[in-house]
Amino acid sequence: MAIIEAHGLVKSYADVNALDGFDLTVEKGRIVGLIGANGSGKTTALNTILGLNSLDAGNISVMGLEPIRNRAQLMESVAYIADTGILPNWMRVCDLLSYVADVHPRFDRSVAQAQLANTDINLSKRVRVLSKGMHVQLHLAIVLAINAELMVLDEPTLGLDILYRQRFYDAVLNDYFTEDRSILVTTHEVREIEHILTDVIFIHKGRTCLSLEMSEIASQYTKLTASESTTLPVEPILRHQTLAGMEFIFAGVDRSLLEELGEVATPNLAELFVAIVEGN
Amino acid sequence: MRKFKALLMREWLEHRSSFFWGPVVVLAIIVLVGLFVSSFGDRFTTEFSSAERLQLHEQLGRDTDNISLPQAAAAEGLDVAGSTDEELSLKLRSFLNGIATPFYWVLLVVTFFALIGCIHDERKDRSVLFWKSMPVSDWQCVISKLVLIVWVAPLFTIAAIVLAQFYAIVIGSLHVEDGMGSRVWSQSGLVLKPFMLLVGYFLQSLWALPLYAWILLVSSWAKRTPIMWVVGIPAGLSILEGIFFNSQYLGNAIARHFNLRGLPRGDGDLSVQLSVLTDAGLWLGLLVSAVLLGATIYLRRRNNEI
Repeated sequence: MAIIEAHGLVKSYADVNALDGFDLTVEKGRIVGLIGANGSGKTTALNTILGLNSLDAGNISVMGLEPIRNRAQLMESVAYIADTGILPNWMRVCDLLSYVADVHPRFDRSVAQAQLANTDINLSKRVRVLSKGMHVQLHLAIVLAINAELMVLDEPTLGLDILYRQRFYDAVLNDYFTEDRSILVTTHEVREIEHILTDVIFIHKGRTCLSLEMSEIASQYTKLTASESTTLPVEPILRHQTLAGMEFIFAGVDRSLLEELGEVATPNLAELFVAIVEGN
Repeated sequence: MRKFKALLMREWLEHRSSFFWGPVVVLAIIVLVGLFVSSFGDRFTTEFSSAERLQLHEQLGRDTDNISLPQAAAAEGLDVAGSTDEELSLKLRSFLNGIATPFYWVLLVVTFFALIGCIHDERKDRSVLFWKSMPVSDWQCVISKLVLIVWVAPLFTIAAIVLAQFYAIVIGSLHVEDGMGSRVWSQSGLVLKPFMLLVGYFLQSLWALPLYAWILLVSSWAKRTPIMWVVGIPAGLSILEGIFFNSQYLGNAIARHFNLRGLPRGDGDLSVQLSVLTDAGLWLGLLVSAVLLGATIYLRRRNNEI
């Protein structure tokens, strides 16, 4: 059974459709990237999965539960890190750990403390005095000590410097991810997560406009770099002027047709995102 | 149970400074005033008119030429020698109530701000997203806030009042007429006072529960300046009621539940205190509280960060 199954999600705020028929499936053992521009409905989609939003229409099931009705039960097996520091500023680190240990049946305090021992975070300090990077490290240490089946990351490295970013994803991969667990991550720094994803979903104006396994990208999409005057056998989904010449992105075209026209490659996620979203 | 205790502890950590330091500061002021009066009161003498002097002379049965201010105050205020046990007990009761009053005013302010901030603040600083990522349901969260703020944290205030009243009786018994200190002790009712304070506070909290629940509701609903809505909505509704129906049910009901009825002071006999249980207003208020708390829980579930 899929960890997350969502079909035709619709959610409106005032006169804006944040979600407008959004679909998503996350299987066990996958790392799914949810890629979208600002205001595309990413955060609304995540909030719906976490049981923070009600829906106007559509079906969603996360580990067999309806999130908004069963949030408390669901959160026993879901871990979540948001785009800005959301830990309570007024609390001491040690009190925070005690709180989580008391309310969370799957939290192992010793794991969190072992994680924190590798950082400069002092247990007697208040969250307020931690730097932004330390705040994320603390949240990550808590989340890694939760034996969760699903980890939801909403722009977790936003505003962090490059060292913290690298360490963050290393820790998630090494200390959390197994074939029994799944990760759903959003970011607009696509390059940062491209190499760790198993699946990718593009969201635009509240709709799913691409849902693929990463391994399928090469067989379905091709990037051709050639001169502007090249005669193309089929219409590309995107043309893009670069210093090296003209770049064309093709969908569902046999590579052998293109190879003689110029340099052929697989587009990266950022290129594909632009091609698909602009093509829409 | 472990989870609920953790929720109470979390709430206590957030509010402890005001609930702890509020009564401690009042207690400190009372202790300092008491010490000052005991140590330096003798240096203040007052000019008594001859009529006052005569009255004091009769009360004390001794020369009043060098009577100190606190002694005169005790003689005039309590007049231990000239009172029956019943009169003395009543006077002491109102004296001790006077000691408790500043504590209750401070507690009222602290409770008000704790309730108004407890849900609004976590939405404002977005920590609500963290709390909601924990396996704690919204009703557990709202009820734990109410229980800690209304029924647990105020125990500090009650304890401080007990100490202050004990201290006041010590100081008072030192300054009454010679040989009368023991009567002050025996008529003070000090032994039963902690129990009466607890019962009184608990009954008063039930009586005022609809107001507390209303503040919580606004805290979970308002996007900004909850304090304005807490006061503004009832005031506006009362005014509208006056204009359209020419009646004042809402205003009266609020005033009635805001009036603390002297209950928390541990005033009067137990039977007088418990009589509030037969007041239909109490039960109606509890019903309204349940509805308001239900709405608060619903909004806590629906509303996230501001």
